[in-house]
Amino acid sequence: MRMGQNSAAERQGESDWPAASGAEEGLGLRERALRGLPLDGVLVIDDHIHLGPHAGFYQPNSSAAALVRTMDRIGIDQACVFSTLAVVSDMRGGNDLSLAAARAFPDRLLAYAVPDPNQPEQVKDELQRCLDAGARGIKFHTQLHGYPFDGPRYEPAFELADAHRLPLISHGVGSPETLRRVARAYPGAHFIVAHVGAGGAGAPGDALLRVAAEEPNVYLDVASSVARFGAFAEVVRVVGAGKVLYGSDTPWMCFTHQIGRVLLAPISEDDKRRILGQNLATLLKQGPR
Amino acid sequence: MNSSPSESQLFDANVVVGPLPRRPPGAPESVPALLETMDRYGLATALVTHASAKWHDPALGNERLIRELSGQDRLIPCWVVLPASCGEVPPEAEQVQDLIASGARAARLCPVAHRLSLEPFEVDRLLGALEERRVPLLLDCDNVHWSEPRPWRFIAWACTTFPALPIILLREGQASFRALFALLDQYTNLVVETSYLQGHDAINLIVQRWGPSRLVFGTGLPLWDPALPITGLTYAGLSPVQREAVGGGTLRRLLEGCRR
Repeated sequence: MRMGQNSAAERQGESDWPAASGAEEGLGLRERALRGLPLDGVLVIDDHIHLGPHAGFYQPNSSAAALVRTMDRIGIDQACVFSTLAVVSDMRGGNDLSLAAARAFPDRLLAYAVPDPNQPEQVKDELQRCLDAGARGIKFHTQLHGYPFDGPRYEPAFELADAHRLPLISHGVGSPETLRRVARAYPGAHFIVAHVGAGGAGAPGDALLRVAAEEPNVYLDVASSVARFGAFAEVVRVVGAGKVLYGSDTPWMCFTHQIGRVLLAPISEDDKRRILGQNLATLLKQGPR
Repeated sequence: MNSSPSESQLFDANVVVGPLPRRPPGAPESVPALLETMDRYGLATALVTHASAKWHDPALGNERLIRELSGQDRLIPCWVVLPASCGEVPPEAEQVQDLIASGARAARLCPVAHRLSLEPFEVDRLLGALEERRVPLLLDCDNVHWSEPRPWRFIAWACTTFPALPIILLREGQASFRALFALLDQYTNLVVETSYLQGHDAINLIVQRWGPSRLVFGTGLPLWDPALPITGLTYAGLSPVQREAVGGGTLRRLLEGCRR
């Protein structure tokens, strides 16, 4: 049983999903997905979840406790969390929510610090405050913050990620060549390109895939509401399973749908396990504990 | 890799067969390829529209659908329907009679692909004819992303005006719950297909609030990856009875409601 996970009996009390019997550990991931069996015995780390409400549209059950309940149901060990408040309007208040969630579920939720480049004088100190409080990575939202990925106000974040070997996941990375240039300038940072690992993005997406395949510190996050037939397996073929990370973008989307992209993909069982958690675990081990 | 169809009760409400614009590489086009894909994903049965009916000519495409699906029982035909104002299809009542006589058990309306206004003067006779025979109507707005708009006023009007007509929204996303939930509260004939319903715990929430008769499982094959809606259902935390209903029971009941 996962640390911090409810017992099967407790889970049965609050819902009616299949109980973990232990027998499912002998089943393949496809069979477990088709039957809705928990992924016990498989390391699963979601690289991309948010937290809390969003006024733009209703997102049910967005509290940390509700998110962990769904993780329990599926068998997701851990998730990297960055509150929606932090990526929309309130850097410090939002980062505090993420840190509090990680304190409440220390074995399950890993807080990432969000810098808001619209408050440039505060970015460096805020990121350091979050790292000191236990943050395990950094999240950019260049679209919502309206600021370019390679703009100078993000430099303190790049420098910290480089120095502490942190994962840095970004929604928006500029052009493929911009990403390549930044990744080479900060080789100690692990750059994760949000929403690109699901494929199907056409020419710009294809060029980003090449950057991920060629640059040792660039990875792709698979969270995407759009899922064209066969696109994910094509991404894995092009960039290699070692450069792809499972993520869901819950509660903007849902763990339940997004994990199916990996579990039922026509790729090997070993590749699925790398994407589901082994790749990110390797990156996280290089950063602060 | 394949699972026996008998192991699965999943009934896919949203499938297209035939030559498709911008078909993803490797996506099934023919009936045998579709059945093979369904086996791979544990899909037992599907409600199927022909791509030629949607993208080329509804009358010819519907004929082709019936011909290509003949002789097997896992694929249930769903016709594409149009208003008869231009004479390209028979008058509405005759069109619906032909649909039922052909063995089809549902209709798909494609307002974006067919540039329909959805104004009452255009579609009221068609929806009335479908309601009279209780033929479920799939509303296919060709939506790709959750940020796209929906014809909510039309949906509310259609649900109000034709209360005995089951209206199934295809590929409804997670960003319109404020409108969708209001409609689910007010119209019991409104049903949502699950392929794109990705709000956190949304399937569970909708089932707990309105019951499993308001959701039907669908994938959007062959354009979309069936994996996401499958685990969206299997990991939704539903009881076996609820899961069976969303996975197929609700759709079977709606199709059986057709007046032959």
